[in-house]
Order: sequence, then C-alpha cells, then structure tokens
Amino acid sequence: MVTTSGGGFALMVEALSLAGAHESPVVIHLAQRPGPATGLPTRTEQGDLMFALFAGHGEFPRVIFAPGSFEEGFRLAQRAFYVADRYQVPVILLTDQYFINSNYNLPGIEIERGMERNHIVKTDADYLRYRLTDSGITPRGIPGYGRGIVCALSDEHTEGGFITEDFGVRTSMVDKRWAKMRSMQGDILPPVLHGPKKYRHLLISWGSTLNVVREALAECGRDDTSFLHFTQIYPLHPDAADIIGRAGNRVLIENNATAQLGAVLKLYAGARVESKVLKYNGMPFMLEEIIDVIKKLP
Amino acid sequence: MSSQFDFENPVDVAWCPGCGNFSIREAIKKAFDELGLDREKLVMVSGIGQAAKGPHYINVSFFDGLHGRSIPAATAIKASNPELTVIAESGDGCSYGEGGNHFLNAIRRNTDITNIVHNNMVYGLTKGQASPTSRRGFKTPVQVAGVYLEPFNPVAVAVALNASFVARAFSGDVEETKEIIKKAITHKGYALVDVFQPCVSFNKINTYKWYKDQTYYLDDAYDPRDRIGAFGKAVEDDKFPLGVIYLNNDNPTFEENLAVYKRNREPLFRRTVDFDKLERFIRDKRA
Repeated sequence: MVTTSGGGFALMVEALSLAGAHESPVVIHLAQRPGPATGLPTRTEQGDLMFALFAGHGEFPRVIFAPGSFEEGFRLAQRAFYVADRYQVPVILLTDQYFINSNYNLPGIEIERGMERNHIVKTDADYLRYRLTDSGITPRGIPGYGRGIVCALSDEHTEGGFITEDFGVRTSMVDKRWAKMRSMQGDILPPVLHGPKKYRHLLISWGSTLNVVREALAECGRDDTSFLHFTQIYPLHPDAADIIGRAGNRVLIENNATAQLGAVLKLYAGARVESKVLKYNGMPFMLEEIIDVIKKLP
Repeated sequence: MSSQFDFENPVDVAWCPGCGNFSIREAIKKAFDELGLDREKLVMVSGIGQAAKGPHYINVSFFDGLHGRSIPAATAIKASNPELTVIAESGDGCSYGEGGNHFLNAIRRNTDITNIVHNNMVYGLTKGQASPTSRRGFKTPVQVAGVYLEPFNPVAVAVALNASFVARAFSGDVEETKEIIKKAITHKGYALVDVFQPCVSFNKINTYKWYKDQTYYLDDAYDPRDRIGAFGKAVEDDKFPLGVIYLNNDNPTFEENLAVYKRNREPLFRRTVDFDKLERFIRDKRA
C-alpha cells in the first residue's frame, strides 16, 4: 500500500502501469488537494478523479473507491485490499484533504470477517505466473513458496513470464487482463440512494461530500428530492444508469471545476445531468450552500 | 559445465555475439552453483536495458520492472521475505542514471542484497548514447562533440556513503568475477559489484583490450577495511583497481532494523491477520 497526494502520485504513476503489466495487487490511497502543481497544498478539492482513472500508460484494469464517511473509509480500505488481492489489480482509494483532516466520533467498528486476504498459492514445478484462465485471474505464486519459478515481467510476456512480441500471445494477454473486469462484476458496489424511492430531483455526488449533502437533504425535508452517492467510481455499477435515468432533474455536486464524476457517468453509464454545482476555491461545501441549492429546486 | 540455472531448451538471447553480458551471466551462474544456492529461495531483479535481460536467461524467479527501478523492487522483496537471496542486476545507465537516487538510498538502507551493475560506459540497448559512466571525449551520435561531463564514479560514491561492500570486476575474467560475486552474495548487507564490460557494437573506445590494459587486481596486502585507503583506490583512473575495494560490517541491515521482524522472523506471506487482536488494538486506541 502507498498513501500519497497528487504530486506524489504523479511521480509514481509509472509504477501503477507496472502493476497493470505485472498484475501486482497494490492499494493506493490518494488524498486529493487542489492542483495543478503545488496548487493549494493545505486545502481541499475533488480534482484528481480523472487523473486516477486514466493515470498510467497503456490499458489495464483498475478499481476506484471514494469513501464518504469514516465508516466507509474503514470498510473500503479493507475491501480495497481484498479486491486488489483477489483480482491482482491496482485499487485506488480516493479521499481529499477535507476528508482526512476531519474529526468526529464513531460508534464501535466491527471488522468484517470472511474477506480472506491471503490469495497466495504454493507453486508446483511447472508453475506459470500468467497462465491463461477464463476468469483472467492466475493463482498468484511468489518466490520462496513452492517449487515453481515465478517470473514477473513488464514487457509483454508469455504465460511463463518471458518476453514476447508474438501478436497472438499479446492479444490473449490483453484479453486476460481485461477478463478480470468481467470477473469482478459481482463485487462492484452500487451507489447508495438517500431520501424517497420516487424522486423528481436527484442530487448526485461522490466521496467526501456525502455527509454535507445528506444533512442538507434531511434539513430541507423535500419529498420530491433524493440523493445518490457513489463510493465506487470505477468500474461503475450497472444499476447507476437506471437510478439516474428515473429522475426528471439531475443536479451534480462536486468539489472541482470540471464535473469529473459527471464525465464518468456520461462515459460509462450514458447518463447526463441538467445542472452542476461546482466549488473549487479550495474549501469544502458548507451546509448552507447545499441547503440553498435544494431550496431553489423548482 | 551444466548448471541447475540452465534452461532445458535453448532460449533466444537478444545480446550481440561477443557481448560482455555472456561472460557475466556465466560468472553469476557459476557463483550460484558453487555457493549451492537453493533455486527456490533465489530472486533476481532488473530494470530495463540489455544487462537487465540477464535474469531472463538464467533459470530463476525474476522481477523485471521499470528503467532505473530494480533497487526499490529488490528492497521490497528482501524486506517481505528475508529468507530469500536477492540479486539486483542492471546496466550502468539504469543503475546510475535513472536509478541514481535509488542507488544512493540502497547504500544508506543497507538492505542485504547484491547489486551487480554491468558497466560498459554506453547505452547499448538504445544503440550507443553516452551513459553516466562514459569517459570524457567519448563521441556518440548524440554527443557529437564528445562527452564533456565528469563520469559518474560509483565506487567512490559507494565508499563516500560508507557502503558495506564495494567491488569492481571485469567481464573478461570469468573466474575472478565469479569469486567477487560469491563474496558479494555471502556478504551480509548491501553489496555493489560494478562489472566493467565491453560493448562490442556501440563502444569502440572501451574495448576488451582497453579494459585489460586499464585495470589491475588488488593484491592480498590490500586492506579493504581502510576507508581512506579505499577512497584512494576508488578515485584512481589511470588504471582501475579490480577486486573488493571496501568492506564495512559495522552497520545493521535494513531488515534487521524493521520492527516487523523484531519478535517474529517469519516472512510476511506466512502470517495471517489475527482479527481478535486487531479489534482489541482498535478498542485500546479508542479507550
């Protein structure tokens, strides 16, 4: 695991691509701060979602989580390790300066059991690190555990981990890596709907804006307005399009200038939004600001 | 002589005929065999370059990652399982250029790994540009007026940083190189072996004959524990000394300093999460 912020993440992006090629499980906690460059290093922003989504050269699967509360932060961190280990992919936990510098009291947290962490297998003499499988997942051997030779290579490789430029092998290795995205369909977290099941207006946000929007919604008490919060940004849950599609008016709330979740929803759920509430002065949303948004809804 | 590190079937080797890499590979395999290393407890790590393909041509587990970054991966592998013998092998461009900062910190961390650097004073994979160790005046298609930078001196830098083991070898002498590599592997702590080698295709200046003429072996009277004397040897460049130039057994290794091994020597993969203990830990922190 590595915990970092935008500038540090930018420096380490080549290793993200390496994890994609090697199929190494890695968990990256990326606490966003306003950029570009040093930007406002002691302030907050949700400005690195697209960066996290597309960082690294080449095409390879990844998973992005964005906790909205400390409880979610705790559970998603545990889940991030589980998903990284099980599917041998990089998993990015996106928080921001506001989230990690906040404090509040929590009730007791029970650790979720059953997410077994150890996905490492004892190797046989004929072990192949990148053996092709339907799921795309090759049981993960490591040196020093079993009789096998474990070869991890950043060049395109054969099943045994040796360098190749064979076009057929290349195609099958790309397909193998992407097959893991299909295999993890059942493990994708759906967005959580707060408020009435039937709604005209739908507020949409992700990550650290959870609590402020939830509180504003409760404060306003409108029966025609709900709030959809995303904790898994990528891959997107297949239900997202339908939940968003049921609203007549969609309002995106993001702590950035370019509505990055909006772009993700358009790209992967074909969803469009009617209006955007964007804040990018370095501060988190205030309760009054969101209440004002909800009150002004027609 | 056959080796347990040979492949059953011949592998397609990308090196030019006559490349110094072949004899370095021979010396490494012989060193492994003579030390009786357990193949299952051995990992080679490399970066990018022709030297970095070395582990592909030896029948061992390997991690071949990014240009300049063999050391971080080797450090992590050793730290996660100190039972493994870890060899980082790459060229002078990878190890001293892109990987320069990792090189400095590997010495300071003193991870118990062996760092074999093929030093042919040129970027061979990319067809002949100046590397950090290229000599002044060396002309290339990029450095058309000749190199004017001071060449990087890895041996002097390592002695300056009080490295635990610093040696230089020459690929033309397989037996001597093998003996130096054996000492490096059995040494506890970070061990640098800078290996001079000719690049027959892209360096027509520093040839086999040039290295032969420009080097000599340190004799038995030489004391590698004398740091000042070692520094004197490290900066000699009329003729370069070969052999173990500096030895310092005073510093603990990186793994010995890690809290995770203070009470339990088990490699990390053999450990499981004790959920009850974790819950107790969280409760205690909240109390």
